[in-house]
Amino acid sequence: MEMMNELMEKYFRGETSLAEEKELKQYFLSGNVSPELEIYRNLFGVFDQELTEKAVSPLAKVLPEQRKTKRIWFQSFLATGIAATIAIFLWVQLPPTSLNYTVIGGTRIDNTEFAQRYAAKKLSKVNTMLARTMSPLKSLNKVRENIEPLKNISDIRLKMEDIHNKLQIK
Amino acid sequence: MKKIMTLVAALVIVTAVQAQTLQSLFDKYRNDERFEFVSLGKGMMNMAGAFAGHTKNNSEMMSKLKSLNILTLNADDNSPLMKSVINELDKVVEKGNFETAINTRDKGERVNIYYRFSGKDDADMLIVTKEKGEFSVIWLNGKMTKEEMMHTFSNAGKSVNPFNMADESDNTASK
Repeated sequence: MEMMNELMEKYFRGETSLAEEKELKQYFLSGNVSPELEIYRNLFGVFDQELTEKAVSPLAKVLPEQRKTKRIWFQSFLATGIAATIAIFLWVQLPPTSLNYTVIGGTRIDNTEFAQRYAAKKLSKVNTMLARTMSPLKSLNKVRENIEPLKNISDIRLKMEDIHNKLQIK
Repeated sequence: MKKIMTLVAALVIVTAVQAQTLQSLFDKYRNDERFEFVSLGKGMMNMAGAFAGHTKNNSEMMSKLKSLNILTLNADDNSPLMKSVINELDKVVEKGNFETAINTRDKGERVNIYYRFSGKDDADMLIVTKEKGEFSVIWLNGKMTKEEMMHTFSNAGKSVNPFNMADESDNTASK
């Protein structure tokens, strides 16, 4: 009896071991409880009752949602991991590329100066072709320059007509 | 919100597809042994221009370029490959929203210059030359306004030397 009182005090201080708690539970379930400790019997009875209780619907609803959230997190981590692996793989696998190169006959030539000379030659060729095909425009420009004084003749004629008109009125 | 996201995604895809068409043509043939291909990155065009002897005005234009790609095919005019490549390029020009700037033809020689603008001042200039047994596509990409591009073309009409480069004979490009 004395021992049970001590155990109860220890229990409420939160210092009991699992074995001691089991002992207390058995004591309260035995039915031979001292009147002094009778008030605590219900407390241990409730604990026992809770053990036998089964999960009701709200709990059943919460569980799948928790799983879903966990699944999304897992999938996100998985996708990120795969993407990172691919990125690292590509970064490691791809050879360092230079923008200045030439490919002739299927062979790549990584020589900047060669590429520059090749490009210059091609641009120069375009220039020559344009100069040749657009040469009639040059002649047209010359004709336009040469007929420029004719503009002045028409101006003079207009002025003369104007003077003539004024003289007739008078 | 969903609609906006879908529209943005569609716009990005359309832009990517449009940019890819010309790129995919170059990618398709760049390593083909029947073709010759040259690629120059930013800053290297000035040097290329220097080799070709262009002047100060055009060095400014060259400095604005981000990349230069040249694809050349040396083949018989009637060969299926030549016909196929020309056909593919025509489709690229048509679908790629290119506008014609210069179109010249003289004794079997043909020069077509196209341009387009995508995004803010992002310009593509495509120079297509066709002569007997040779077909070349020169693709210049850079940051250029429409005015600057037009200035280049108007110079072409005045000076008959748009890229202000020396004649081919002046160059010692190794080929």
